[in-house]
Order: sequence, then C-alpha cells, then structure tokens
Amino acid sequence: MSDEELMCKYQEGEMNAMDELLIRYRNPLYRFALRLSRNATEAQDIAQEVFLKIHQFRNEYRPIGKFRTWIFSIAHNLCISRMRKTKWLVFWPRKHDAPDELMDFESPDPSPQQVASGNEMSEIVKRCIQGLPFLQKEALILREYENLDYREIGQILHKPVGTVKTLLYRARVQLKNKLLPYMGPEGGYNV
Amino acid sequence: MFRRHVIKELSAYLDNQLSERRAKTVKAHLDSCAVCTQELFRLKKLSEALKTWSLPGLSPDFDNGVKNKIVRAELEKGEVTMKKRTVAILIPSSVLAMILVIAFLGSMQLYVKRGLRGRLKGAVEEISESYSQPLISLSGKSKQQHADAAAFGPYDVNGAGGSITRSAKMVGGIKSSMGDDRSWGEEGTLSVTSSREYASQTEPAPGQGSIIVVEPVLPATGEGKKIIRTANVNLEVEDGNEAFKRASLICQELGGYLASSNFYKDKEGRQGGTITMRIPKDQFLVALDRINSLGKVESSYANSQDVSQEYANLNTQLGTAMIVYNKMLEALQRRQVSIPEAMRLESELTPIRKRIEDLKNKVEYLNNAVSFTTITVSFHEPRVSEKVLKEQKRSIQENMLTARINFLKLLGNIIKNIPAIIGVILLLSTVLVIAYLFVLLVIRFIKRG
Repeated sequence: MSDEELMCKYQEGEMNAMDELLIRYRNPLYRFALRLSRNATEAQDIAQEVFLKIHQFRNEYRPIGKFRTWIFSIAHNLCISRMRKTKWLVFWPRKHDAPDELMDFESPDPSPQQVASGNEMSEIVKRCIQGLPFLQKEALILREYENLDYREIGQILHKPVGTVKTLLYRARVQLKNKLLPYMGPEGGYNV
Repeated sequence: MFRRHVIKELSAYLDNQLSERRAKTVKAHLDSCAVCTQELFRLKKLSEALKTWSLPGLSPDFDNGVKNKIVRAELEKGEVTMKKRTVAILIPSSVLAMILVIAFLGSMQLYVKRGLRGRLKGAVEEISESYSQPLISLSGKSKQQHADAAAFGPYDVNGAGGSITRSAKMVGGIKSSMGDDRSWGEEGTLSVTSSREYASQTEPAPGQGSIIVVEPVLPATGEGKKIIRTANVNLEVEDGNEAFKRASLICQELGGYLASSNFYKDKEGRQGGTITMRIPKDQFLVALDRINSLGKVESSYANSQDVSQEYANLNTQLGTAMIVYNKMLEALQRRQVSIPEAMRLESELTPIRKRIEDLKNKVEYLNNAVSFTTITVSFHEPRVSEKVLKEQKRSIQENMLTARINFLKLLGNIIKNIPAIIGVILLLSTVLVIAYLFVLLVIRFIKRG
C-alpha cells in the first residue's frame, strides 16, 4: 500500500494507518531533522511534531502530490520555525549544552590530526556538512540521504529545480574541497 | 568536441537529474574529456564519503511520544472547542443582558423623571422635620423682669444668698439667650415646659441604672424638737441647663430660696453645676423627691443635727441675761445716782446688753437653721450624653439623607446621559476591535515573514 493510500485511510479514521506511516517515516524524518539540528533530542522532537502535524492537518491533505514530499515539507517548515525560534542556524556550540551533544570544534573544517587518530570519517563529513549554508545543506541531505529528486527537493524547499541544482552543485564543490584531502591520494583541482 | 567542460553539469548528471538529451551530451563529453571524467570520479567518491555519516538510533519510545502528543493535542482541541462554545454562548447572552440593562435603565429613566421631584420634596420635608426644635413656653411675672434678667447672661448665676425671684430671672435670662419664643403671664409662678422632654423628666425614671442610689434616711423628728436638716444630692442629668432651671423652679415652688448656685461648662461641652437651696422644713421631703426626679441619682446624703439642748440653753441664758439686765436697769432708774456712778452702771450694763444681743442672734440663727433645711444639689451631664447621641444620630441621618439625594441626582444624571455613555462604549469597543484585528494582521504578516 502506498503512502498516499495510507494517508487516505488515516483520513477516513483508520488509526492503524498512522502506525504504518510511523514505521515508514520515523527514521527518515528523524535522520533529516538530526542532520539539520544540533542534537538528537531536538531532532526527535521535530520528528514527533511532524507526525502531530500530519494528524492535525489530515483532513487538508489531498493526494495530488507525493506524500513523501508533503511530509518532508512539513519537516522543513518545522525546522525553519524551530531555527527562527532557537536561532540554531548558528552552529557554533553553546557552552551550556550537554557534553555528549556538544559539537566541540572551533571550526567546521576538521584538522588532519583528528582524522589521523582513527576512522573518524563520519565525524568529518558531519562537520563539513554542518558548515554548509542551510539551504545547500538541506538540499544535499534530501538528495544524498533521502534520495529525493530535484523536483521533490524544489517542492520541499519552495525553490525551482534550477535553484536546487545550483544549491547541490555549490554544496558538493565546497564539500569536495574540504573532504578531498581525506579521501585518497589523488589530489583535486577546482575548475 | 566541447570548448567548455561540463563540470557544473556533473552533479546533476551523477544524480541522474538531467534531461535525456542533456545526459547524452554530457556522457559524450565525458568519453572524450579526462578532466571531467576525473571530476565525476571525485564526485562519486564524495558521495560515497557522505554515506559514511552515521547517526544515533531513534529512541524506542518515539511512537509513544507521537501518540501522547496527538492525545494531548486532541484534549487541547477539545478545550478550545469548549472555549469557542462558551464564547458562542457568552456573546448572545451578553447582548441579551445589555438589551435588558438598557431596557431597565430606560424604565428607570422614566421612573426617576416622574418620581425624582417627589422624592426630593419628601427628603426636604424630612430634613425640615429633623431640624425642628422642641417648643418651650415660659410664664413669669412680667416680660420686663426677664428683659432685666437677660442682662445677667446665661451662666452668670453665682448668686449666693440670692432670692427665688432672682433665680427666676436667671432662668428667664437663660431662656432669652436661647432665643426661644416665650410668653409671660402677668401673675403666677415661673413655669418651664418642654413639649417633648418635660414629661419624661418630671416623672421618675423606671430604672436608675447600675448606680447605687442611697435614699436619704431622715432622722426622727420629735414634737417641739429643734433639728437642723441638710442633704446633698449628686445627679447625672441629660441637660444641665434644663436641670438647673428645674431645680430653681422646685426651690421657688416650695417656698424656699437659693443660697448659692454655680453653673459651668467643661472642655468637652458638658454642663454642670451646684445649687444650694434653703427649703422650709415642712417641704424637705417633697423637695428631695422632686430633686431626685431631675435625673439619675448617683448619691444622696441626708443629715440631721438635734440642737434642742443648745436651743434651750441659749433661751435660758438669754432669759437670765434679760432678768439681770432688767433688774440692773430697774435699779438704775429707781436710785438717785450721781453722774459718775450712772456712767459706771451704764458701762456695766453694756456687756450684759451685748451678751443678750449675741444670744438673740444665736437663737435667731438656730431658728432659721431649723425652719429652713439646706439641700445641696450637684448635677452634671454624663460623658456619653443622650443629647449628644441624638445630635450625632441626627447628623448621621442628615448625612445619609444628603447621600441619598446625591445618589438620586447621580442616578438621574446617568440615566439622562445613557445615550452618550452607550455611544462612548460602542466607539471604544470599535476602536479596540480594530486595534485587535490590526495586531492580528501584523502578527500574521510577521509569521509569514
């Protein structure tokens, strides 16, 4: 059963549909929110709020577009709203944050010494992505990790496809420049 | 084949987001361009590197959290619905209440217009009644006497040894200083009547309060005995001025006279005084009874002194002295004496005559003391006088009446200005609603960014 059909059933009052939607989307939404936000608690809160919005606005849903686009659009709006409220667009860590949730770096650019100690590629990638501008980061996350096409990303970000294309290109150029020293012996060059 | 590299297209090419035609073109370029091919390779490696970003797992109670939030939202939504329902009930109720209030105020306006004049008139009459004074009528010997008596002033009554006539003049003076309308008879005794208070003051009070009253115990009076009687009575009276006048009147009516009197007014405005009156011995008990009825008796003391022996001795001595004197005078008249001897005898008679005069005076004094008893009446107004209470009560009544009148006037003004008040309320409500809507619009505009 497709997402849209599940949502229609939920509209009709079948509460089990929500369980299925939760199974399908709790992890993508959580990952999306976690990659955009600062900590797991906040990401989980956003993801839960997305499902709450789905419940609240279930009667306004029309199966015209993809459900996935709609649900990520809600998540995007919530992240923007939360970002405006908490101003966590600034990624510099706050001193009063919990130690395990601290992004204990002074700059988004990791130093080679940090990598030399072990396989910390994940941490490096995370820091590099978090150093991107918000829209580039969001477009990249939606593309790389959620496999949404450009049109869906454009619908979620309320941007045209060309803008999405540019956002992704610029994001990849920046990441490539930062991550190439860690990716292999071959050097890179900028065009 | 291409003058320019397709590096900018490679990102979309890698994501398979190019059009079919554009994708073929890029693919053809990549076949011939090592630079772009290398770049595509790096992008693929970058994409692989990005996949290494691992994330912590989701909390196991995520689903429960979602359901709890949904339930909570439903509850809040129910409360909001309830609020909306409440408002939906409240607004029509308020409108209905306002209509009722307006109708009530309209009817009140008519009622007040019709009844305000009558109420004010009644209030004025009530005030007039409250201000009305008790009527006092006096009768005395002549108007001229009271015109003379007025010159004494109301409190200049310290007339030791004065007569009852003078006391009556003083009463008249007091009354004339009060400015009351008075009428004087040509003959008869002075009478003071107060239309409201006289009856209650002339009759003994049914209860004397908590004060221990010591009733005078008169000594036994034997036939022919010479007894001097005195009495002291302390009274608490409601009106010191009135008590003074009535005591003087009692003294006059019983054929006595005022030996002395004193009248004062203390710092708190309480009136008091002391009257010493001489009353014929036959009227002693009557006088005490009437004096006791002037007010509340705080203490009473009566004393009698039997002077019969002294009186008899004086009479004996007087008789002896008279015999001696007469005999010496007779001897002097019968004998032929020379002038020097006559002068000597005369000088011997002089002390005898003087002693006779002294004895006569003492006998006269005793006769006077026995025939006229002495009653000293001390009176004062109580600390919490009923008169003061009455004045305060009347003052409170006047204030309440004034407040009622002012309230009625205010109510009348409010009712008169109802249209203006409603207009102002509507105007303010409109302004507030517009301001509220404006604020809502601004908030919505800000939210939309």
